[in-house]
Amino acid sequence: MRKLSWSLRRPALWLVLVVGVLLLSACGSRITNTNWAGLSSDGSRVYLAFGPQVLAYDPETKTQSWIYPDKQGTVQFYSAPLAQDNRVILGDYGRPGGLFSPRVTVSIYALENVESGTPRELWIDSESAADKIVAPPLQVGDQVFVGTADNHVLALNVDDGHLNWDFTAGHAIWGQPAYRDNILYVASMDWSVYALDAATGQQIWKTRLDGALPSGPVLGDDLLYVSSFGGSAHALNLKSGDLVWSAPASSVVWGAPALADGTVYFSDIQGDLHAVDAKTGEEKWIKATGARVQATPVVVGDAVYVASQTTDSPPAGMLSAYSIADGNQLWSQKVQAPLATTPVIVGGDSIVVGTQDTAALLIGFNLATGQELWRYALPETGK
Amino acid sequence: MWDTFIVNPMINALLFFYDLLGNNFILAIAVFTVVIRVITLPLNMRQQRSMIKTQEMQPQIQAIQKKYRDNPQKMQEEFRKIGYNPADTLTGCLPTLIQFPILIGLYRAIIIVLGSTPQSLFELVPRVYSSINLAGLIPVENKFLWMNLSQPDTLFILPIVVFGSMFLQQKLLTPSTPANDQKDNPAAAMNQSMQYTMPLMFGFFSLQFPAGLSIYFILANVIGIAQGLYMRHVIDKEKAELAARGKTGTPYIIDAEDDKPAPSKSKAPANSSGGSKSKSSSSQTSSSRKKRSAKR
Repeated sequence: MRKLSWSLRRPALWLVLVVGVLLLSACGSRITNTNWAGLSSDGSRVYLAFGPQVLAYDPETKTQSWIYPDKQGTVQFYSAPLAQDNRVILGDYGRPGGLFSPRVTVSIYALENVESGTPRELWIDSESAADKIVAPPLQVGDQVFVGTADNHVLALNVDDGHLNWDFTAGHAIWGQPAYRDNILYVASMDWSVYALDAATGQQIWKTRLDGALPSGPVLGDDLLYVSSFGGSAHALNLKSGDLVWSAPASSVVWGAPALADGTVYFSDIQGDLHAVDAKTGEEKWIKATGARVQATPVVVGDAVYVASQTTDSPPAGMLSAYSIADGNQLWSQKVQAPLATTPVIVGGDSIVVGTQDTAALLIGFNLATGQELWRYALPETGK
Repeated sequence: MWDTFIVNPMINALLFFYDLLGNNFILAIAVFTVVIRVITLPLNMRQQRSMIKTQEMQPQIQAIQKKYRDNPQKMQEEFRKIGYNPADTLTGCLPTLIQFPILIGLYRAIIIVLGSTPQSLFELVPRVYSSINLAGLIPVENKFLWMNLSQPDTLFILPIVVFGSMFLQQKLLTPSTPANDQKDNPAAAMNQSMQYTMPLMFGFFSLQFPAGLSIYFILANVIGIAQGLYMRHVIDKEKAELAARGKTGTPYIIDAEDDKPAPSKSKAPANSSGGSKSKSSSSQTSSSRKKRSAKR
């Protein structure tokens, strides 16, 4: 084979280096910017943000109502969409600025919740948020409240996306805010719960707890319940923010607590499901699920439902039902993909889990028996 | 296995320093970079020493290669005479190869610790040893000056500093080679190209990678510059000591017309790259080229 002359070797060397640079930067691992799917329901349809797209699915007719955007692009969606008043509001994880720009554009979308076809974009706000939207939005009246990963709580006008006010916390907000009587309650990763005036964004009180707060607060009659990375569930006085009780867990408590009939249920990521008295925090029972839990428990009737992931490699998903009376397991179903997303109840008789496995994005189970009722895959990969 | 033995210990070390240094992630990266550099210092020193030495011998090595290209046995003999062992080049690469897992592991550790989504935090939890109170450290503080450490620097300042510091480091560590010599010396040409390519590459990476990683690149470059300057100082001192003792070695000059290389009577040091010896090698090679062209 003839050797390349030096006059050719140098440009060839440069060409190889330039191609190498481009390949390396394309393949190099950036910071992980993915998450588990975000799932919500308006009681009849389910909405799933599974990464590149968001879809609405009707379990009754077993049809996909719509999918947004039409084609998968560079933008990722993982925040559970909010479906209310014929609108769906959601945020994205940011659109990269391109090969030569470090800028990332994060947007909040209001889509028309159509019966079928492609939802119309009512407004898109690409100015207010600087980092990804992890928290599900909350709509109250004509305002929508959005927590961002760049530490902000945004209050936007639901009709046009106009920014009404902006509050800055100490760190990211990953959980959906809660609202009552013109006060917005926000849990932040900065270990603090904030009570804000919903009209102005002014801080009313702030309580620092024993760890980061990765999920949203839950409203009780007089108390506000919140889970903590410090390994506890806490109850705060709604008016003052004073800590009323703390219930310790075996490890980090990730999912929000669930409140039903005077009992608070919460799981830690080692898999222990706790039931404590809502007023005192006194433990009623504790049950080892045998899997890692970061989703919020869901209480319906006499059962509490827990989505989890097994400790196998690779991990599988588990959906289990436990009696609220004593924590005894009623049924358990294993699915192929790990379950990190909080399940939703649809139609009063089925519970739906969401995954990022495109061959089984949504799976519906019978609430009473755990029997699989249906599953939905993207048409391209469906079986 | 890779995670268990390389990445996870680094994640825990980073978190340990983060805890120790008042939850300041920049300081944690800085101290950790220094610790890693100190651990790998003997390897780095050896590599740089080998690089500088080989670079300085290049004119002689090339001259021998050209002269005895059809007689490998003789070539090896002549190499031995000037104290050059081609296998040393591979040994010189060894420190770099050993450092690669460390660098890649550190890179991965920073990426994982700075993860800013629930999933990345969830993946971090099982990697952290029980002796570290992760709950007390989470979330890792990601704000520093104008930057979000988990996002690229949108003001383009860090990519420029990464480029500048790496260019300076490359410039200091790569012995300069005259443009004419580069034509005949692929290694020198490659080194000169790398002086620009590596900084450009890392500057480009910094446009897209988190600011925390860019800060690591900058710190590593600054330490590399200091280390390079120290290394040059040590080598210059060694040369001066050798010269003072009269142990200058036997220079090797090839006569273009003579197949048998003869030891020169010159007093010039064997490992000197400049001066008349270089010129003699250079003129020899060009005269050989002319002869070969004429024959063709």
